[in-house]
Amino acid sequence: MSGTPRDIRTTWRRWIYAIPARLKAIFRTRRVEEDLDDELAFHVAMQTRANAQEGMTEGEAYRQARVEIGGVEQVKERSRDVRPLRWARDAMQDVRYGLRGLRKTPRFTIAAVLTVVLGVGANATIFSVLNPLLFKPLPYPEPDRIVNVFRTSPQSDRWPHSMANYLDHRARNTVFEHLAALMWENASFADPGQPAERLFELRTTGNFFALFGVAPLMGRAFTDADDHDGAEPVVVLSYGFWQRRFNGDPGIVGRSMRLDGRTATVIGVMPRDFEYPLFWGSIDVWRPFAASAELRQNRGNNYLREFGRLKPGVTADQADDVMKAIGKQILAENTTLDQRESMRIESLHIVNPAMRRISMFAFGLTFLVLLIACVNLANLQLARTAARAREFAIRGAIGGGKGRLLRQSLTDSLVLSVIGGSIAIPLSFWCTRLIATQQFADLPGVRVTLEPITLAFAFVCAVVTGLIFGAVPAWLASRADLNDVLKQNPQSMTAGRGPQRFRQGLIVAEIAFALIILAGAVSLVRGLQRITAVDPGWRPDGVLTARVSLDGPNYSRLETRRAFFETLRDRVAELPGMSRVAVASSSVPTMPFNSSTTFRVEGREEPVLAYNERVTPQYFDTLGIPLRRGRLFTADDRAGRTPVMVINETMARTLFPHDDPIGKRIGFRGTNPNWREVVGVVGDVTFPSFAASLSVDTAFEVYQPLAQTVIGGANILLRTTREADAVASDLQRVVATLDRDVPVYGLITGRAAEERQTANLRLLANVLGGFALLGLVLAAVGIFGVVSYSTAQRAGELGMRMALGARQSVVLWLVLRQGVALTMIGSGVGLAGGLGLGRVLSSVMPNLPAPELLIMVGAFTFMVAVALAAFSIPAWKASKTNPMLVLRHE
Amino acid sequence: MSKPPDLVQGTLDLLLLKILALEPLHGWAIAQRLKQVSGDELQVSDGSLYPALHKLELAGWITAEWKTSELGRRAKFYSLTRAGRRYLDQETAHWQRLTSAISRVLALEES
Repeated sequence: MSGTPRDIRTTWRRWIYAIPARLKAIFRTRRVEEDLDDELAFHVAMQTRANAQEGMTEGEAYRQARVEIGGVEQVKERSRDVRPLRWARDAMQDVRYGLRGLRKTPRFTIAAVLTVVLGVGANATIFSVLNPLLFKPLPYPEPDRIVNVFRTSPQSDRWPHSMANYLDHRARNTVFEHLAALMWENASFADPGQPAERLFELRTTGNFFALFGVAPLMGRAFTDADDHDGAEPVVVLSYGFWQRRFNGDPGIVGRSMRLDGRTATVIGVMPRDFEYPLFWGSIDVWRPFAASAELRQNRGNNYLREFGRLKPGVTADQADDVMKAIGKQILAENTTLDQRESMRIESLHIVNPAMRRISMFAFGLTFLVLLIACVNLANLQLARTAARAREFAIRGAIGGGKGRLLRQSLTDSLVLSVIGGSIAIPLSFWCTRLIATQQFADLPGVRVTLEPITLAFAFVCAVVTGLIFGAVPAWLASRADLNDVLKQNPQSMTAGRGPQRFRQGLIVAEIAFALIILAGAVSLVRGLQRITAVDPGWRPDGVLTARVSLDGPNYSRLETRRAFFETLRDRVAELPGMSRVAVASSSVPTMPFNSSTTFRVEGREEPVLAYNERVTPQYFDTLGIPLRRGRLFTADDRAGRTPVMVINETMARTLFPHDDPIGKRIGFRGTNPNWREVVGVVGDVTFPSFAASLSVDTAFEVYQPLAQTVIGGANILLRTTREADAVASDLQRVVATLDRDVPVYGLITGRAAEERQTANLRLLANVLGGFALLGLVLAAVGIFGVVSYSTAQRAGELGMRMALGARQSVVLWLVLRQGVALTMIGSGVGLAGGLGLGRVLSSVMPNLPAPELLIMVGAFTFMVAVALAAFSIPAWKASKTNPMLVLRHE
Repeated sequence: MSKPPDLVQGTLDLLLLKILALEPLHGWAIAQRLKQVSGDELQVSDGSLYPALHKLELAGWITAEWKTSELGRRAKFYSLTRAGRRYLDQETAHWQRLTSAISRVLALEES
């Protein structure tokens, strides 16, 4: 308020008067307005009388009095400005006024609201789906201090570690508060008298819980003291498992469980949030490694994931340097290790970097859709502002401040945004639910939900959209010359050179954006199709597979395991309807084989990395992998006979381009190569690389007879004509007769396994396709709307031309000419943008085939066709109008 | 909003308070008094008067009352509140300090 009060006493006293005055101004607006009218009327009356006394005529005296006051309405406006909450009253009025305006122009309202709904809805939905994957930190204290530690080699930069290496890393590093190692495992859990159940477990080092920094819900978590050979076996339960299997029994701590045929004591239960299946997969129990002395010295088997918690103040880059140095030391000390290996620190994200990049890319495309929506709205609003030019001019002339008018435009836009947003939010809620239940149903724990942050995001989208598309037309309108407009020239606002350029620019932008989205989505979808359409090299139809785990001390001997699997295979083969039965170390090859090994080829210096799959003789027939040369395994390829192997075509062709691969010898690295003779060459099995974390280690595949190798858990694979359900119960029964402690699980048909792998790809393709379509529809609607409007504006001129004898075709061309030019410019820009996007795409996803020129040309042609259609419909309509009608209207 | 031209910001408030310190007046009378006292030196449009009065009223420095005027019509009479009188004293003192300081500066002779 006025002046700066310098005395406390005066400040409080004035409120005695100020508060009632303000309350009245706020709550009794009508009364205050009447008072204002009366007060000014009184002033004018007094002044009129005074003027008359000075000798003016009565009319002149009155007129002069009104002039002197500077316009009664203007004074009122300025007086209203000093009242409190002026903005709120104005806003209310603007909103009411805006709503009334929208009701009067239903077609504009529907188009605009629909645009907001589609643009914002798509963004909110995709944000909901991607938010937990991309932006949410892991639910652990100071998650940015937790990092992955990977081993790298020329083949991959995400390799696991051996136990001995891990122990060295842990002992030598100076950068981690904790460095833990873990592996995903399966445990067999058998309560007396119940069928064995397979559990998902994490075997971890003792410092695991300390690293992740979450206290147990009940009991205690294990520590390093529980993690040594010979320690009392302990187990920590996940919340989900505790609820599911023990109904949340509060007395669970201290109970014992039979795990892998041994007894372990339950020492604690972790809180629900700790599981975070999105990152870990579903986990039932955690157990310490309690590694034996022998295991602790093992440097050859790499199966450990390492996680570190950085010391406060240590950056990931510093840790990276330190770990690289330690890795180098270890290599120098152990010359049998592959000397090309190194170490790498990667910050912890829920999804791997490649998937992150793809998701970001999809997100970018959605954003482009929103951009098109904005352009559309700006265009629609521009047209509407033009139609309302006279109204605005009149309001300006009778005292509406320019700022006020600008605000009315913005309010209109915001009202539209809020209406659109409030439809878009429940809609995207529904879409999110649909995606969550349709696509992520079998991914445990992926909670795709619409959260407050998403709502906030959607709302910000809606509001920002509103401001963008409201501000520009309002600004243009505020620049218009009042006199021009009042002189019956409503087009002057938007038909002027500046605004017209602006509108053309919007159309060009719209066409360009739509083409970029189209090109991006089409090349991505085509790329995904080509990945999924790749011949897998085996025949999934009629194949069934299930996993059998042999865990615990009963199966610690290789011979016992081998014998179990061979008996199992024979028993299953006796079941009705089995045409082929095999046991293998990996499941059906919808994902890369479980392990890869560095081999050495006799007579060659450099090591060769190949997948290392262990199979029984009927494996190839079961999956339908064709033999190319030599022979497959037979029952005679047993322990004690000549060690043999079968390799795939690509490996044979690459390693032995000129010789017959049959009879060549391939062995292992280290002092004792254990040479194996190549006896056969089979067709390549192709993994859907895209789905499987985007990196396939190698194109080489080696198969060894199960009877001659080491194997832990295994998969049973069958080719059968029977239904999966019927086979499942048979399998359970067969396994139970062999050992009731052994769980059979994960029964799935080959086709289903394949579909599961490509589900994400198909989702991505559908989403992208949907966006492209959405962008295209929005752009077409936008172009159509704007061109219709501007053609309608020229109706008078066109009618005149036709009345004077211009032929229909001439008029048509007149309207189309501009459209063709704009389409060409827009498509050109879009094509360049699309090619640029292709570059980005191929750097983001190196596995993806490069965008084809044909696709770009196709997208270009399609876009031009859509744009020209959008131009010609209003043009054609204009050329059809009866000139007399137009002229009469004029 | 635009300020009355040729008036230092806030001085219109001061003038209005001073005029009302003498007697309660309605808007038109205030305008007359303002012209009469200041002559043509201070140009205050009648239009600026009312927003300024309403602002002072909302600030609690003056209060208003509807009374019958000399024309026999109801008019809105403004009068100074006690807080307004103290505020006027302060502002007057402040104004005088300010103007005398400015005068002293302007009186400096070039050497």
